[in-house]
Amino acid sequence: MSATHSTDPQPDGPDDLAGAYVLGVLDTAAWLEARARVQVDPDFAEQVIAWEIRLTPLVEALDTQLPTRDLWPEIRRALPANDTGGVNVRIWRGLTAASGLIAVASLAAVVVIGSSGPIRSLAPAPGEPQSAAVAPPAPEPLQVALLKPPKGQAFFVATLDRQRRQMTVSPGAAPTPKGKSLELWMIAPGAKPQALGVIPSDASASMPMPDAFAGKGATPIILAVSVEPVGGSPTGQPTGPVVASGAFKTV
Amino acid sequence: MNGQSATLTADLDRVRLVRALERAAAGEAAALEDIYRRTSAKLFAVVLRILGDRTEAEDVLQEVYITVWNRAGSYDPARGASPITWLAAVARNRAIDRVRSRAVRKTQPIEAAAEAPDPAAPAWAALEAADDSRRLAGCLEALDPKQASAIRTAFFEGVTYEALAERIGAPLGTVKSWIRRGLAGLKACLDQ
Repeated sequence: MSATHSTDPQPDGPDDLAGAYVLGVLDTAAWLEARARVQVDPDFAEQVIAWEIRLTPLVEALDTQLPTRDLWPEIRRALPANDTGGVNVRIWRGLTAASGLIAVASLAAVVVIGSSGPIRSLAPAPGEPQSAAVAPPAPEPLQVALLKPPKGQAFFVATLDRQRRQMTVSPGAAPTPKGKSLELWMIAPGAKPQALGVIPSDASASMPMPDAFAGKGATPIILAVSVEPVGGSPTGQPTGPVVASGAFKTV
Repeated sequence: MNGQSATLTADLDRVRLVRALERAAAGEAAALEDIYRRTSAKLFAVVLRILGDRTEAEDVLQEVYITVWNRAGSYDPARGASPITWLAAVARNRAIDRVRSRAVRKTQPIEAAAEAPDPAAPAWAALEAADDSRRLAGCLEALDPKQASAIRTAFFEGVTYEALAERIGAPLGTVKSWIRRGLAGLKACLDQ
């Protein structure tokens, strides 16, 4: 049986954003926005997973192809457990399994860092208060910051979920510097950069929302990403070049 | 191989892959190697088709397995996705990520797509959720051919609405409409 236009469900309905995202037809800006939304909107994340389950079996139609060489030895060497960054990744992975958000975003594969637990890489600087994980009652609009290099696509997208008091940083066009880490900084007007931790360029990371963002006048605060030695800046201040920056705006 | 034993083999392979993902999540590198040996030829085909460049596709394939290593713990078979669906979703995601983060496509995906299948590659069919594939194929068949074709091209090539319109030679609005209607039709058919 062949469907005709007259039997199309919702012929003039709205775009299925989750479907278009999974299909891959969104342009870079819309794609980054949708990917950020997966982190903060459980309903949307559910829709994305449903579309991944619907569409991905199409890959059966592809004939297999072998790479020109066996890539396993290179993959084995690159596994995080083999270098100094391994500990952090392992902690993230443990938290992934334990996190409630992951339960809805399993295919989208989000890494969530809880507000408690021994998180080395994203722990606030010593003496810095952790924000309490108490949800305020009223829903707040979503705030998004595109962390961009001087020219080109956003390296990371940061989203603030004030209700959950959580900040999520998702990689966009972020490079993976060899033998270096990317570190996230918060810079308030007239203040020194404050370290927020090393962020992965191949996974989203969530962290407790810094208290500085709790107030209404938080938008002048800039988020910046610098290139640092593996594990983060040894001095507590950026030591490498700042490769991307941006500030939150309400969407 | 008769139908029943093919199903048994597929079930066993699927169970082995789920187990390997569990072991990889627990930090066992040998389990990841097992996953690589079983699935890399298929995942390489997925990323090569989207990227159209072998060197870049091999680079992304390495990222895919490192991502699998880092996130194996988030795979939950109870959610209804076969392990290979999950792995292929990770691979497509990484490949589209790479494509979206570069300004210009360097090569023609047609060339990569035209390459002969590799007979040395492990049998994918045994790993496949064959029922899912057949249902999806049936639902695509039931769509308007233009809608089905636009969805297939978008899925395999990972191209944006704009690039898709250019490739098909149809107006952007028309192509968006095909995708919208096609997705709605697929959803209605598959969720029955």
